[in-house]
Amino acid sequence: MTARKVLLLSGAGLLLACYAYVLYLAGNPRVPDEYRAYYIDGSTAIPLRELKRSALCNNPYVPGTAVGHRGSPAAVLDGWSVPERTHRWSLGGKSEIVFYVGDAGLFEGRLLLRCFYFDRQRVRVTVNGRAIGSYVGTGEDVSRVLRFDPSLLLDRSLNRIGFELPDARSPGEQDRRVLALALREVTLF
Amino acid sequence: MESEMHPRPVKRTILLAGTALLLFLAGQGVERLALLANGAGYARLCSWDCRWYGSIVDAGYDLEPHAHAGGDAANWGFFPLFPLSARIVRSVTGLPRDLALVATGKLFFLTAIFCFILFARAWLPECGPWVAGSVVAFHPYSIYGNTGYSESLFLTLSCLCLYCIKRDRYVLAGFVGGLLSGTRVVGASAGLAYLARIVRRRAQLENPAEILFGLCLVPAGLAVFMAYLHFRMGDALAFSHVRIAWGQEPGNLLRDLESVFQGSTAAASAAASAVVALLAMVQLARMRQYELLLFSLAATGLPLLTGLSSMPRFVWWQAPVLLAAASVAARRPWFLPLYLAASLLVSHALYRAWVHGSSWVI
Repeated sequence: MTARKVLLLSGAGLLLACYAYVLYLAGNPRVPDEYRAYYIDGSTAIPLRELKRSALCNNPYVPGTAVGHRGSPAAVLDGWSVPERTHRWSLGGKSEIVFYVGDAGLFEGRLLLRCFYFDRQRVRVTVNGRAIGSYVGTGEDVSRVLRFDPSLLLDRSLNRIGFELPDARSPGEQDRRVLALALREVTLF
Repeated sequence: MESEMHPRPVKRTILLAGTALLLFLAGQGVERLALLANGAGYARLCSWDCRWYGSIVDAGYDLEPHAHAGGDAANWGFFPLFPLSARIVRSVTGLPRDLALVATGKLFFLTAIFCFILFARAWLPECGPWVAGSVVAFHPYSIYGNTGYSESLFLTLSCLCLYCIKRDRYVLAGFVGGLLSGTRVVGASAGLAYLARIVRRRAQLENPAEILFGLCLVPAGLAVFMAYLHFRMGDALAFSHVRIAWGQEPGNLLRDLESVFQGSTAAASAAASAVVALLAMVQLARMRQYELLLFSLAATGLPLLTGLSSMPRFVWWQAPVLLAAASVAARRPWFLPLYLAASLLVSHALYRAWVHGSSWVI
């Protein structure tokens, strides 16, 4: 047997071993229960967003935890576009971040927002529908702190931070999404 | 005299490349007219799946689903080779993301025409390069080669892979097959064509180690993507599971056939493409091209399992289907003008629907 033959047969054997490992991985997914129920077992037809909201109850938001633009197990982002490299755009005139609060007494009432804006945007931020701040955001990247009454948070319930964005618009033919605020990170204290 | 009638390989390749380039430019001219007629620019071409590819170019694969009304859609169903290529094109040219995707698709459209001419020379020597190239450059669903989709890359690689299989260059065929399975899941169909070739040539095979290694390379792209998905978001089969977000589940075929009879444009267009695939397979069987027949059977049958959706893209960007059309064009002089006229009409309707955002063209 020539060296070339040995090399080729070893290569084939190695590839087959790798494929066996990939098949093993495919049979052993590491996913949350709601993912498994919806995508793999098909044991529920409840839309995934609802399942994820239900799952938030098992994953209460801990004050000081940053929710990045790629999302977090402790929050569901509603009304946002796909995550991009450094940020995620709001879609349309209203976007929300939903999270579960186990003990509202742990919060001091501060919201730290890191984002930038498409052109000039009026922004109204709400906690569970009550306004906690309005301002005009412009293009540059900013960190903004908004204070709110911690009693607005609901104990052992789902809570919502809303962004109302009346000036949202599409950048034009190149991008037809209706954009306003590009979220990098939001943190509640 | 001899060398003029049978140009040397390099000269011949340059001539074929020139033919491909001229046909590509003519196709681009037709597209430009369609865009002008609809008042749209190139940036408008990046829609639907191109946006999903764009999300991969920008930020890689999603960690969790987030899109569509139910929040169950993510970019896992879009295989990595095309967005990787677009990322390279973007970094080299500095084009904006959407235009880089469109330019990448077009670049591969050019290579697809060239590779199809090579492929047709190997599998159907009686078909001239102009006929073969025209069948690809002006086919009815050529819009997908111009809009930042992976179809043109898929056709390029499938032509190269099947060309290498025909020339008995097994390791190279396996390597290209590996790239093909990293482009779309049906790319793994190349393995069936490979196996059929081995069976056909079993009496003349000389190097079984080379053949085995080549065959093992074919699913490599798919396997790498699966492993990546597992370590990225936890599910190696996410590319398949996420199809539920687009309503593509096993057993949808009957429901979709019902839509055909209810007058749905999308379903009618998809059903017509499935019939074309069937006719092409009959033609391939008549030509005794069993390797290509098996490729086509798997590349059509797999998506059919989940219904008729996107069938035109699966059918019209398959090298064997286009070869079947080229074989008819090579033998029946009336076929090519008819094919081109029908293609122009379909293409016009598709561009119009595309620019106006009709979802049946996705």
